Amino acid sequence: MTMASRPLRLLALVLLAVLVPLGLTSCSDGGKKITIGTKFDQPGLAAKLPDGSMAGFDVDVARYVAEELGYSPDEIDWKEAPSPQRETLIQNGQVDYIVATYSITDARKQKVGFAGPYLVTGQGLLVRAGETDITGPQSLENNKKLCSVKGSTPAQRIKQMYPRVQVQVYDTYSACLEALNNGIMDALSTDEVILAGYAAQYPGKFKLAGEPFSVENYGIGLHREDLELREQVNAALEKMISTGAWAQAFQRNLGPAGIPTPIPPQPDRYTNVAGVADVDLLGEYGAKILRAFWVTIQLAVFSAIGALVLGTALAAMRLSPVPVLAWLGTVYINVVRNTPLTLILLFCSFGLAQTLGVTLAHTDSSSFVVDSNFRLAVLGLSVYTAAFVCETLRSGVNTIPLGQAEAARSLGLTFGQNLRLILLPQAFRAVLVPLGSVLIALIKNTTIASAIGVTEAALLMSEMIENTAMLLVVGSIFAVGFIILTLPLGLLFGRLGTRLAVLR
Amino acid sequence: MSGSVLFDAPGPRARVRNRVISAAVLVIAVAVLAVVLLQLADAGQLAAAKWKPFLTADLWRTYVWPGVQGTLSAAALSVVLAGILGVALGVARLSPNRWLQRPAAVIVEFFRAVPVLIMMIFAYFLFALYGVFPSQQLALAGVVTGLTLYNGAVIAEIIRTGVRSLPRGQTEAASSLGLSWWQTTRMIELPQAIAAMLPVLVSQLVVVLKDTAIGYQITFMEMVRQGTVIGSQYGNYLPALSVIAVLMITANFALSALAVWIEKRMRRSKRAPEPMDPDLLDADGTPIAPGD
Repeated sequence: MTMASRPLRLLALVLLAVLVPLGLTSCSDGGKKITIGTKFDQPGLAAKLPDGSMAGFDVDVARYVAEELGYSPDEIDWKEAPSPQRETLIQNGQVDYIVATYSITDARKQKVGFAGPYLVTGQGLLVRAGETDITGPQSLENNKKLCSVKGSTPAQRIKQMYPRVQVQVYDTYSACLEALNNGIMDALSTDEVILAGYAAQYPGKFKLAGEPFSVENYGIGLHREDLELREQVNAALEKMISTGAWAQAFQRNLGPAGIPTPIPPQPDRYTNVAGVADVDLLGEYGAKILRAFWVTIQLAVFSAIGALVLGTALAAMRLSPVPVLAWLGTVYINVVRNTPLTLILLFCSFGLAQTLGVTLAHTDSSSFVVDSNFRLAVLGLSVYTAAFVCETLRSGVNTIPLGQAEAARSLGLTFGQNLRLILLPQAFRAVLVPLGSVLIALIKNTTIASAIGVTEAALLMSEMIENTAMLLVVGSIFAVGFIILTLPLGLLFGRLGTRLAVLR
Repeated sequence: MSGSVLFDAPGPRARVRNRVISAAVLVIAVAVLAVVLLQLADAGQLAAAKWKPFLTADLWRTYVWPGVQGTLSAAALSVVLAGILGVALGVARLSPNRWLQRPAAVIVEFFRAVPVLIMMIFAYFLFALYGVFPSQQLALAGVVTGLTLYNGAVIAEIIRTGVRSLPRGQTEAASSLGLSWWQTTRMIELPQAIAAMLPVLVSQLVVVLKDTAIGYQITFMEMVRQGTVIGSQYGNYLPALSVIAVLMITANFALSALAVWIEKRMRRSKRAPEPMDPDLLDADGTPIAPGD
């Protein structure tokens, strides 16, 4: 034991360094609290301001209702409720209610309950201020690119009504706004009040185009079976409208955006109809699952080739006699290995494609959005995985006895010949097993490509969880899918590794 | 191995050639950098208005700090729990008892085969279904579970490699002293293996820290997510992501450097066992040293 005492003390030190910041974060708070879900990034409706406070029409409605329920403003815990996660937050009991530009639909009524509506709006289009070609949703079919967010009705409606429009989905509207500003997207579609908020935030940059082409009733989402809370919230809304607080809140938050105060709606006291019918999971999604996994496989194959080429070049750089090359290789490895893959992919999409104009696909092509996302994802995955391929190869070169390189040199081989004829062939054979696990890690990492809207397995998984209630079944399907993809590969590489090992 | 084994010491001609290559590479690198900066300036990404918000305390307090807290607490919890799980699974996999060995092997292989994101979503909904955690902690619990299961499996493999790479004489000496398997593992093998793994374990922390970014898909508030919120508030998406990237890279680079420092220290010390090289980890964090 004494032999290990110093390293063990070091271990304790590391644990301490890790646990102290943890202790700082886990402060407990008692007392009564109400948790309200809302958006954090929708100016005019619900946004988190730099001083940490919340502001917007939705926020004011949420506060008024909370007040009526007996909670003062400082007893409210705000929780971010992004569009794809709203039903989940309510069903899991993570929030008491949600006021987050939440349209009342029959499909959603199957999963959650709605008080209200408290605001009526419609789907519209936001375009750059100088845009004249786009006059309504039909004009988008003229090879225009439309942006919207995952799990929202606007994207699904456009896809159904105008199938020829190219639709890009991101996690948040702010990402879409950035893409619209960069000129890579031509229009952003969602409810008009949201768009008006953005137009007001960036004066002179964006404008609304055409007339709204749907009717959206914003409601307050709460637990489906909690009829008592639903009635209390409805009563609070009625009071807010009748006392004029509703109109004031609208004026204050959305008046500057230039939309006139509408007539307030009447709360709709509906009764719950039967719950979710069982979905024929495989019948409805079978083909889609196969297609999504096919995209996953394609992503993995192309990225593997890219990573292998780039990684070998990097390894050659790091081993080369030219100091600048070796240094560049080292910098690359240190930067890429320490960056989350999510960030690398976001940089590919927002930095490379949108800001620097390296789109990797024809902007005029009718499949521009799909192609561009896929190729950017392949690029990002290759760049990330290449760092690990390089380090694996380098460790493989290290296993080769020194005599080999020395014998090659004494025969008069140059560095390039030495690397190409003597070292790399042996190194590749020595590191087949670890290269296999780099490939497996790559296959699993393709799931992160959903961050830039590539329709691979993880994106479909979240869509299926959203649309069906069968979370565990859906989860199992995808887990098994990945095991089928990765386990045989591990076995194959293990076998190849022993068969091709360099005998010494 | 130093580079000098791979090539001869450069003579006069080789030195000239190396200098020419170096100069060409530098010129190309500077040119690429200049083009990128010009393009960024063209697109208005370098405008002062986009970067000024980062000088205000509000931005850091309201947006960045909660993200840093989320990332750190998830990473810290996961590493501690994964360490415990990893030791348990690793020991079980090394045990002579088939009933321990086989299930441990299946568990380890399963958790290494399934993407972390899918495990996180799974855990998140499972906890929600049975109300295991209070709602405020649900997302954190999902992230920590996903990271713990995955990294626990990886650490189990690291431990197995570490124990296997110990000199045979250690177990033989222990057997000849009459120690049982469990005593040998507990008193002889594990202390040496864990100490040898210390640099690798610290490097694993980098993997965990990076992987917390996956958690934002299950409503977890971490740094990348907060970066996009900053982007929407101030209209500076790219600058916000860049700042987050710099923070992340700095933190991870410091951790990697710590791992190397520990390793060097152990190599110098005569009492400490031979450490594993943290560079020998693949994208998974699995050891890539072809030891056996």
